Amino acid sequence: MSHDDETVVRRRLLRLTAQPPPGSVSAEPLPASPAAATPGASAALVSGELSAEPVADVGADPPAGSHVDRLLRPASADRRPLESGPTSPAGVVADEPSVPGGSESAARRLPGPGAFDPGRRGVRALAAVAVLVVVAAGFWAWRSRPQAEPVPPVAGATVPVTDGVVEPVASPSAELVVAVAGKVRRPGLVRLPVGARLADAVQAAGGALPGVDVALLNPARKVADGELIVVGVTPPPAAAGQPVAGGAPAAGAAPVAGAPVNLNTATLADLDALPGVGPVLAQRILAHREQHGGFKSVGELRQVDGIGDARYEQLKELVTV
Amino acid sequence: MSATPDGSGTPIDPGGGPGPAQTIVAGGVPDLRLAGLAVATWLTALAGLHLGAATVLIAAVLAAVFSAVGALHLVGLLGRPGRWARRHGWIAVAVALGVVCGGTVGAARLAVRDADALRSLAEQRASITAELVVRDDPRPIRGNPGRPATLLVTTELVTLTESDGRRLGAPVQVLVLAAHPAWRGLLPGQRLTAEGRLGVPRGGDLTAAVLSASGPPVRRGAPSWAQRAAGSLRAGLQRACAPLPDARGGLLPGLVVGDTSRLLPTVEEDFRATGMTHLNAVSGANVPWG
Repeated sequence: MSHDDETVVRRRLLRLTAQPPPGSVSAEPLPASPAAATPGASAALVSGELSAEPVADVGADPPAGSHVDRLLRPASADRRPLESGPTSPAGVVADEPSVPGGSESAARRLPGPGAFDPGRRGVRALAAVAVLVVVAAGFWAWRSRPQAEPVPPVAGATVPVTDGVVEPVASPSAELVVAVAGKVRRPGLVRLPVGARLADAVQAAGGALPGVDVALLNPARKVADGELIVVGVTPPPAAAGQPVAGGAPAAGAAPVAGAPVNLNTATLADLDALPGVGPVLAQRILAHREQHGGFKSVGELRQVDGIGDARYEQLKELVTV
Repeated sequence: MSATPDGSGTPIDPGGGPGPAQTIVAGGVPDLRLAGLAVATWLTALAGLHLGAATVLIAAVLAAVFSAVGALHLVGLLGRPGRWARRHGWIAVAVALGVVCGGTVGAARLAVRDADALRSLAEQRASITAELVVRDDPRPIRGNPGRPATLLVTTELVTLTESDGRRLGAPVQVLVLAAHPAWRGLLPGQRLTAEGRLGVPRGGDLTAAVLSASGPPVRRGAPSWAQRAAGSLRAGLQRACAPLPDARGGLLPGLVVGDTSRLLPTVEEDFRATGMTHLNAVSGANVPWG
């Protein structure tokens, strides 16, 4: 008893809240002589300055018994708050009857902040661990960032990789090349930035000749790479369905049966006319074209919601890009 | 086992000088020095799964700053630590270090999971061809009546090829939804190629994308010998249970090795209703001890 009180006082002085009463665990299955256990118990009194290398200490002779003690301790400590009454069953914890004021002793034995306190040296070790963790996590994240590989068939073009992000547009240079023909000042090839409208293309070709109405070509339409824009010339009906007809379908020419529909230039009506494609699906195809700046391959059609494998098989012969 | 400290003959050192044998906290209370760090790490990682990489990385940086400033304060380089700081300061620093650990590791994994390249493909529901490594046994989920049962296969992505030929490699977790019966019976470690359409995962775990497989997997090579051995043992157990009536024959592999592939839906429902699904969820430890 008096020893216990003494240790309590000493413990508070030393800012360690938990100090064992003598003989705290009786159910010790392993032979741990008092002499072996004592250095461990006494060592703990020391001011929360805890060694950062517990593993090394386990191997040493005197603390070996104490290590067993520590392994067993959580179970008995968990039990303690429940056994706060003086009528707690003897034999589970041998010294329990010798502790007066059950609730007070329970409160005294609950792990206080001291049990959580790693101390200065402990924090030093934890900080070293944290630095290792941060370095390892950074290395791992860097190593497993997505790796984009270049497309083999494209002539020497590498898909640019910026910080693990693949450029959403496949064109290696962020530039479109379109042909502008017909009644413009400088017909020929023009280079445009991605996302350019038809009006930009006409402007880049020097602008339409006086008296030519561009409105029918839909100047707001986004142009796709490799497109031919014919200004002010009504294409002959036989050519209306050809893939490079530009904005011509807007002029009312129906696609010729059998000629593939260009996904990048087709209107809602053209797509609607395809077998198995209704107005809703046609609208989705147009929306996909707007979002992604045109179709680069027929296979991209499968990415449109509502086009499954079966419908794609049916459509792929009827469309082109 | 703990003799009275005074009677032991070992002098108690009130000066607090660190000695070689001072790792043991006083008897009677558990050694909880790592608890703050561990709980903080765990909670930060859990929060990261729901809050995203950026949030958790910011939390980690703030915690790192806090722990550095706190440590400097506690050693006396930044002002004089007050009473509370002396008493609880190192605990707070340890907790902050836990946030640093959990935050950086979580952010690293989440950043790989949420990488734009794959996420944009998943949002487009792109059709792709993926090279995958199976990481877990395929498990059936109950499908709608009249439709074939769907299999869930947890895999790790090696590379994926888009429809226009671009390839993308990222070591992320991909959940495969497959209806084709050839997906049944795949062993962990099996490398395979599958076609399908990507989808956005539900979130809350490390799954980067969901692949709805459109056909059977094309196997590449064989799984490791250990997995093959385990697989043959499981197959043997299934064969041994085959003559049993359906209810019992499906239950036994579940109890022994957690193989619920043949468990009847009615039996599974019974287990769920009684809250005993853990019995056939994990391991053979149920039977030896049961």
